[in-house]
Parts: sequence; structure tokens; C-alpha cells
Amino acid sequence: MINDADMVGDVSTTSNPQVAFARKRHRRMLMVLVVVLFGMGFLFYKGLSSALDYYLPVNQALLQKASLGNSTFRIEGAVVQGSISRNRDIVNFEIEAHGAKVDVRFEGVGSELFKPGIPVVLVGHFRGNEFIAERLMVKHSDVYTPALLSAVKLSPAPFTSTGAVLNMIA
Amino acid sequence: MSPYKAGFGHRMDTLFLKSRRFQLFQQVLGIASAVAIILLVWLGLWVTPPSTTMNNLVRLLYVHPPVAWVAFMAFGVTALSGALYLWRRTRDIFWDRIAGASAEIGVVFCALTIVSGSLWGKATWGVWWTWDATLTSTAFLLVLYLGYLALRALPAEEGVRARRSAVAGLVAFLDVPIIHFSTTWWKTLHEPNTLTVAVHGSMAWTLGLGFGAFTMLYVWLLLKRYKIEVLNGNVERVAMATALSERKMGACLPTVNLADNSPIDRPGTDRSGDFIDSPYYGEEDP
Repeated sequence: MINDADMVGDVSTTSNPQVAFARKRHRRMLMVLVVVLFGMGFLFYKGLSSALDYYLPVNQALLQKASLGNSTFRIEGAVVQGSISRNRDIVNFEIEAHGAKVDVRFEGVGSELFKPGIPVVLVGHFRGNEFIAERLMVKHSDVYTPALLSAVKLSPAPFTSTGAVLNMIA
Repeated sequence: MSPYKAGFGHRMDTLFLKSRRFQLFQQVLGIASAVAIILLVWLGLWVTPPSTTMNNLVRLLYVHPPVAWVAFMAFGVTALSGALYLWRRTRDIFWDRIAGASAEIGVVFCALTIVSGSLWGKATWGVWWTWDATLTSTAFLLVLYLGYLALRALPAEEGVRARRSAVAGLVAFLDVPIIHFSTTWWKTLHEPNTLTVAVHGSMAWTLGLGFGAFTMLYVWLLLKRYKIEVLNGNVERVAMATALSERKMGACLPTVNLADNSPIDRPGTDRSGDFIDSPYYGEEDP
């Protein structure tokens, strides 16, 4: 039957369906905003607690060894050439940064890029003079060199001509 | 007062919707980005060589940095358009629409950056995710602009929403330089994300093509999204006017034929005379 709610025009009445719809949408979007704010808070906390001091290079970690104790932290260094020895699932190797070295014992699956000389970030803790790594992450540089060029022992300047490179590939 | 002036924005709408030459430009741009992406796939997967240390995993280089670049650029456009809206001399709802459209594309590309980076990270670093400064601030950026889009979706008067989101877009953009410099300001697992990465030969050309291809795709998407926004506005206006006139007309008509008591088909109502577009449709009358 005909009632006032059918007549669009008076927007001040609460029974107006459009106003009710807008309110419903408003409430839902406010909920989304609250969720987003929580997300931002969480990421901000993560940023401050973990990201700003992501790892300690070997030399700094050794300096702070007493205060670090058994606590878990991230250590960074390059894998020393010829130091890798595997015993079943356990990999033993040394890492080095700024002249300081530490023995590492790692059990688990690493990255396929893991090899002597590559910089790694390890999550773990000291046990005696050894670093017990629970997780291994390979830290690669921003230098991308074609494998073939390095195989022929050329060190090309960045942005060499395509023709030259295509010749070398062929 | 409506911020919509029959000036710059109106001319742009006419250009977007009516100009034949502009349609042609859009089509050419769409085809060019499709061709560039196909070319990129071919160069990236077959022509370019594997690299030292990364071997074949290096091929993600042609996708991840360009996608990240588009995300940052899109948010840059949002921030810039917001600034142009806020500046009184250039204030036009056109800039607000561009800002919103660009932010939507930016959010998609930011998510793609995180996904492609995660895949690359698992293969090279050995982990899907880690809380280093670069990754954390990128996740923060995604959440910031999701918030920006949520803010835009809040129903508000056009001018209020435009001003509000312009400020939010500008503030959220502060995170982009933080991401860019995160690798130098803090220790990160992520490699330095400078745009002058040391890349060699055909790899460099392919990377360059990647940047070009995804940038073209961005522009094409932006133009399409803007057009949709304008058409949406038109549809909304027409629908509102139609619904209003139908309601007015329908409400004036009797519900039954007085001669034989048979129901009269009123526009916008069902057989029992209830308005079908009402949110209370199907509920009991109070």
C-alpha cells in the first residue's frame, strides 16, 4: 500500500531505505578501516621490533656474544671457501664478516644458491663457540651477470650492446 | 557547492568518451602493451642467458622490479593527483577520480610485487617471507593503500571524499621513499633496490623492456578505469533519475483497478504492489 517510505524525497526520516542502506554501508566500511588500522599497527610493531635491526654481522655478534647468551638472533656473513662439510642432514661451515669468523652447524633445508663464498643470514643461537642455525637464508647481491660471460672470464661493463652479448650466447 | 566545474575535468571526460583519436590511442596502447609483454616472456624465458649464482632463477628479474616500479608509480600518481586536487587553482574532481583509479591499480601491482617477491625469495633466499625492513615496509604500503580504498568507499559528499582521500593518499605515499631507501638505511635480506642495478647485456635490455611493458599496461588500465568511473557516474545519475520518476509516478497510481478489483501493474512493484528495489522488500509492513 502507499506509505511515506515509498516516497523518495524526504531524506530526514530514518525509515528512508536509502539512508538506511548508506548507514549499513558506512558501518561496514568503518569495520574495514578498523581492520586496516590493526594491520598497520601490527606491521609497525614488526617493523620496529624486527626489521630495523634485522641481523648482526659476525664481528658484531662476537663482540656482543656475552650479552646475547643463548638468545635467538640473526647473524650475517659470507660462507668461507672450503669450509663446508656435510654429515647426513647436518651441514657444518664457517661464515666470515669483516675478518671475524664463526663455526656454524645447520640442520635443515637451505636454498639452492647455498655455496662457498655466498653471503648468508642465519637464524639461531650460540652454543659454546659454535652458532646453531635453525634457518638459513641466502643473501644475494644486486649484480646479475650472465653465466656464459663469466665462464669466458670477461667482466663486461653494464649495458653492453645486445649484439655483442647475443654473439657470445650463440 | 559541487567541486565539479564544467572546466578541465569536463573537457577530459569528453576526450575520454567521445574523441575518436583518443579511442585509437587507447587501442594502440593496449595492443602495444600486450605485444611488449609477449616479447618480454620470449626474451625473459628463452633469449636471455642464465646468470651466475642465480642460474635460471634470475628470470624473475624481468618481472619483479618492473611490477614493483608500477606499484610505486601508481601510488605516486595518486599522491600527485591528490595534491593537484588540494591546490585550489587545479582543483577538479577529475584529479580525485584519477587518484582513486591509480590507487586501485597500485594495490593490485603492490600485491603482485609481494607475490612475485615471495616466489623469488623462496627460491633464492630459501624463505617465502622474512620481517626485514624492505619487506615489512612494502607490506605496510599495501595495507596503507587498502585503507585508502576503504576510506574512498565510505559514503560521503563528493567534495568531502575527494579532500579526505587526497590527504590520505599523500600521507600514505611517505612510505614509498622509506621502502626505496630501506636497504641503505637498515640491514636487510633484500638486495639494494636501486634502479641502477648492475645488469648486463641482453639482460639489461629485457629488464628495460619489462619496465616499459608494465608501465604501458598501467597507463592503459588507468585510462580504462577512469572511463569506467565516468560511465558509472552517468549510470548512477540516470538510474537515480529514473527510479525517482518511477517512484513518483508509481506512488500516484492506484494499486487496484476499481472496476474489477484486479491489480494494476505499477512500475517498480511486484503483484502485491510492493516496491521491489526497497531494502525492506519481503518484510512485513510495520
